[in-house]
Amino acid sequence: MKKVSLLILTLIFLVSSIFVSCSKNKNQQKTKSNESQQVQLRIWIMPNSSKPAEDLNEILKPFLEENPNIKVKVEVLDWGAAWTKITTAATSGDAPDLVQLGTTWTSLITGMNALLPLDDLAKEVGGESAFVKGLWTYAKPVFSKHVTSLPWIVDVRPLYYRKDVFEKVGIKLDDIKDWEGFKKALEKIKKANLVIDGQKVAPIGYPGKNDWNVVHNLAPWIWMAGGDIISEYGDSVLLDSPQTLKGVMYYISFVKDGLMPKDYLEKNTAQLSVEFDQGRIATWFEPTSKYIYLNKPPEQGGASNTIGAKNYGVALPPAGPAGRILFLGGSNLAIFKSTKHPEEAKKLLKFLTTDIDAQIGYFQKCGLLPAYKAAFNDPYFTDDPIRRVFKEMTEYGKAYPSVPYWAEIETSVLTVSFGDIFEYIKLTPNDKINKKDIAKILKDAANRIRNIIAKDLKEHPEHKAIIDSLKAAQQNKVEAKANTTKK
Amino acid sequence: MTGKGLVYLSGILLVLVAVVAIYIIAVNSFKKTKKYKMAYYFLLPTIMGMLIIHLLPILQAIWMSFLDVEKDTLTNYLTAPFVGFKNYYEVLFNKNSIIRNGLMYAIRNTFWYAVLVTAGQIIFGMIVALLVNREFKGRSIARTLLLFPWVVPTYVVGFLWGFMWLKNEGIINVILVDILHLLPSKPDWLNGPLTLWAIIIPTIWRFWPLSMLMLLAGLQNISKDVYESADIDGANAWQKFWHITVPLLKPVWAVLILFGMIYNVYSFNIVIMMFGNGGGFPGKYGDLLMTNIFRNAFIGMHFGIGAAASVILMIVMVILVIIWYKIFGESLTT
Repeated sequence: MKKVSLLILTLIFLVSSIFVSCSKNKNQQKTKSNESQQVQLRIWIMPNSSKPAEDLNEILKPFLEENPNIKVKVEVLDWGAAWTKITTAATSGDAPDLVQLGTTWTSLITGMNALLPLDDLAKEVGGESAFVKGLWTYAKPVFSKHVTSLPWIVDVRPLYYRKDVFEKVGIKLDDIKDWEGFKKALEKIKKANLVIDGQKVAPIGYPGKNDWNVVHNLAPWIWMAGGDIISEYGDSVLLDSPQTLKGVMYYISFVKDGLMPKDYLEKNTAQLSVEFDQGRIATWFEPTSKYIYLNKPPEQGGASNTIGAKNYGVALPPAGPAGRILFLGGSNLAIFKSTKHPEEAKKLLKFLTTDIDAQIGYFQKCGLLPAYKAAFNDPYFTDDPIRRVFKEMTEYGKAYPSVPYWAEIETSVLTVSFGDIFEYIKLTPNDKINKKDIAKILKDAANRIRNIIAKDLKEHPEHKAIIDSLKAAQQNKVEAKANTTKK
Repeated sequence: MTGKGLVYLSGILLVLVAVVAIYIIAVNSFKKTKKYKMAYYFLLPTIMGMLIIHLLPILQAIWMSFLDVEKDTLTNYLTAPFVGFKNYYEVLFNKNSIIRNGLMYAIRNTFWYAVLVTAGQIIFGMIVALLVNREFKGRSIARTLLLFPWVVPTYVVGFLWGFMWLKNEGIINVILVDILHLLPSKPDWLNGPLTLWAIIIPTIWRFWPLSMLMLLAGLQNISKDVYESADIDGANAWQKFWHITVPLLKPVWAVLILFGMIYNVYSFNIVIMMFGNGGGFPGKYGDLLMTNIFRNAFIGMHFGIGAAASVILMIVMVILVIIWYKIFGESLTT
């Protein structure tokens, strides 16, 4: 029995020595940081460019020269693993100082009370009006009293078209300003049955269910038809409205009318992007990063030598019956509450989100647009015809409602239901694609979303109160505007 | 390390100390074990490892399945509100629950996927094991090369096969239709009912070398004398295979069936990568239990419900293991 007690005592000794060494290390770290006054900030970013850490470090150079006491350690997370890592960091408190958040994530992470309020910084940099229209909803989510992140980079998806195809068929950019004209133009291309450089050219291409952009691709067509997924404040569902169905039907009519090879529906964005480069697609929607890729030589990982790159133009997507409303995504930068250096972190955040050179420089690296409006007044954007289109795109952007249950709606319901729609049109002969079947899928999805919203509002009566007050404020604004116009 | 982290670490370490203490006391108290006391002490590091890697997460998942752990309560983690069997009700009986979106399809697909992949990898592994068990030149190089699929990471398998299954440009349809003319037209592997085969075949391709390796080891353990006696009795090749090889390899079949079923029910990487690199949807013919639970429970941050679904699956698997033991237990000991 003596041996047993000895063994147990040894184990307890081991455990306590681990604690002692842990707290010793902590104290040592504190002393060291006090001694040197050096601050090391950690920032988590996604692979926004081909050399993510290297590219951001280059952007940071002027900041580091100006702030010699600050060092920045850039850590790159894969998009697939980022969600788990960020939520774990938010839960455990073992987090970096700054973090890149996909726009639709800000609300949920804010709801976890893990982010530092940035109201003072937001005010200092000019608030909502300083950033691209629509992005502020992500910076200050619907149910948050505080600004918890600042917009950093913007994802908009212009229309890339083949200039040579348009020329051959006789299509001008004015012809594709609206849905009707766009459809007619695609039909013209189809009729022309073009084969250029040995490649048969399809009028349009977009991916189906095996892609990560299904919801972002379809949403603008729903909005432009006057429909929506959920209302602005996220309290009611519009996915089963007739306008939404109209938008979906218009989008899938490209397949139904034979304007797009059905096989494209089994591909993803990356695969179809290559189809455009190889000269097999005449019109194609993709984020602005495509522009950087098309202008990069192949030895640097670009596609400047391809048919697509040699003949491409960029235009605004066609406007629907409800106007031109485009997808607005991207990423914000936030500071975790657990940071030990809030002031330095804010300095860095301010630099990355509002320094014009940093914003333009990062666009040149990753191809995602600056979120800071002033950057678009730079000759870099005003003097170039393609970049002028990008600038114009930001004026038509629409954000998803920034509510904490959006991620669930997008992943668990919309990805699945839109995936079902694409699988249905892929497997059904074109003449048998039925509006009623599509409506049923949308109806089922809408009911699922209703359950999600009802559950949230039941569990959080304060959310309902906030929505009511926001609606009242909006109503007052409308009335005040109407009164001013009358006067 | 943060304060919360230290609290968790201390909790884990104290549990381990308690378990080790109980273990040591138990080893010392039982008369029978005294004879092999030293052996039990040698087993201690393994038991500690198993506890850390398996038992603690399982206990945590079971506890979590009784808690309301979701986006609002995630920061409380294991101290989130206790909700009893509510999460189990959500999974089993509430048709409107978010976890139920496509769950029945996922169960159907997972059943067929696990059965067919397990059978496929064993049958294919057996055929190749019989071939490489014969004497021929370059046998050891062939055996090494045949292990190639086993070293390819599963997410790479999913990603690459996603390209190979493409209807027009995919190499599989090109071989089947354009070169061999085995089919009248190119099938659509990534949409519709064939999707299940599009995930079954790459999984068999990835895992059959393990089956081959284990069956080959089993084959080499069978004494040549047994086959020679059968030759003397006039048995043909088929009779030798059926009456000697198959029964004597039963312990290997047993292990392969067990590993195959467990591994394939929990399969995730190949499917998630093949359909949109984690962001797409495998469709109602390709969605498996793990991808379904991941999407519905974990992305939506319903960790409590996700834990309940996982515990239910674990119970089903335990029942399967008990059935497996009833069937194969005897052959393992003999």
